[in-house]
Amino acid sequence: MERHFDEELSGLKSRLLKMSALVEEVISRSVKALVERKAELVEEVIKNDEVINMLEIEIDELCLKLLALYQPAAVDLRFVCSAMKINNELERIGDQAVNIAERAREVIKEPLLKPLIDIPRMGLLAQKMVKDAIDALVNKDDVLAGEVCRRDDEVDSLNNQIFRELLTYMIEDPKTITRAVELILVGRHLERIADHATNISEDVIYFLKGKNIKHHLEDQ
Amino acid sequence: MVKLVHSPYPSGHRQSIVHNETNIRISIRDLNIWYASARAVKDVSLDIEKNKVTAIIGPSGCGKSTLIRAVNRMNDIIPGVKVKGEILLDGKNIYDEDIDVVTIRKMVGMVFQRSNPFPKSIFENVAYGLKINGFPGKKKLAERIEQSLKDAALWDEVKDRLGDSALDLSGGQQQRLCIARALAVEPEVVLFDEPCSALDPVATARIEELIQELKEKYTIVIVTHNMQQAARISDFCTFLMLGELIEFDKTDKIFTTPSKKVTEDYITGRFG
Repeated sequence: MERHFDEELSGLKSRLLKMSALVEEVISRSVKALVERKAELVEEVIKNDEVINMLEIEIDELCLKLLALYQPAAVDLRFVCSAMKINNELERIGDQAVNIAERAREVIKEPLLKPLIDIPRMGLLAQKMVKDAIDALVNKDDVLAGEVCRRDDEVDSLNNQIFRELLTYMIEDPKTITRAVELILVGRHLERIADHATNISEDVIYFLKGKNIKHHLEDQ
Repeated sequence: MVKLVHSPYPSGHRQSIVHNETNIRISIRDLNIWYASARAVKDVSLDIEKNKVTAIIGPSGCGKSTLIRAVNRMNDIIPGVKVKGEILLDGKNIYDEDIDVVTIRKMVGMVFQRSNPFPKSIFENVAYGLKINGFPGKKKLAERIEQSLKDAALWDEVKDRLGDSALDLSGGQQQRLCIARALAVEPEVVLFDEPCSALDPVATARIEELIQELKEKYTIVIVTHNMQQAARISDFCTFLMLGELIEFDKTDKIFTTPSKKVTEDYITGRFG
């Protein structure tokens, strides 16, 4: 039976997709602003984040409306609740992209400390994690969601690698500290983005399987 | 201690569920019920815990009412009904030959979809079951009636007009009067067959509150068409379809993560 509620749900889904597309875009632009030293991209990221913030409120209101008017149960309830959480994660990813853009604004005022190799790699990985997490939601693909969770380790180890490398620069020459710290922070922000993508994947698995895998509950 | 109880019976419709084994008041075992040649209930096995609310949900004609009526042998009075299987009330099969049906119905009270007070006074309605059972003493009778009306959350509304006709009460009050009437004979189990389907939302909310309070003293089984109602008031929930028990579990499990696709389709309104 086709339900009116299904139309509402697909409306919610398409808004989440739109939000995710915007978020992937700001991740990519914030890293690009840093790597290609483009100040105009910084402002673009900040402006787009406002759109993301408005969309977050819209999605929140829609979810509340669906809960109040339809009192969904089972898979529908899990979807709406997961959507609320995913919405929140996406918004925070947007904030992290703004953080990266702000670091970029400072970094590009100074001469290049070193060629940036790991940071753009991390950026691509994190962005792909967000994309795949949302694809897993839309395509109801719990295998993909599980894979996204596992990719988080890769991003973490890149972040550690960046930190160790920049530490050697700072030890050798204290004059590099300001620039190195900025880059360490960028690594940290990207690592946080990957964490948010992992959270999204966990929410997707809860929606699809009704199983909570957060905090390694399953292993306990 | 809560442990996973697996039914000792080998048949295919068994459900294992987290039940506290010592708290089981009613055990339905391999129950089959026929109306002439039509089988309305098929191999249903189910444990009902004491001092809990167990809801039975399912689409129209799935056998919910037939099943609940079997628990106090109300189906006996319908011609052509055949019952096979066991219903153990505190370990004793209520379909055994040496069982007195009247005693069973005293132990297992019932409230119906439409309130059905007798065309008598409020007092007489509640007193009826006690009087035909030869309840001794006028003073004690009055006390019991007051207590029953209080348990049914009706006392404050009717205490000054116990002699008035029960038919002058509102629909919601009539239904609570029927609950008081059922409680007066001090049953162990109270069956509710869609008790709110003829009531407005306010009267429904009162009955739901009442059921929550009643489970302190009684074991409750309720058939309902209203899924939100089952979700709100029950501890355990049974989903029946075409006479078969599809899923039985804790209510919060059924409404968040049901194990079966059909259950999910039903409670999310994809069919039914």
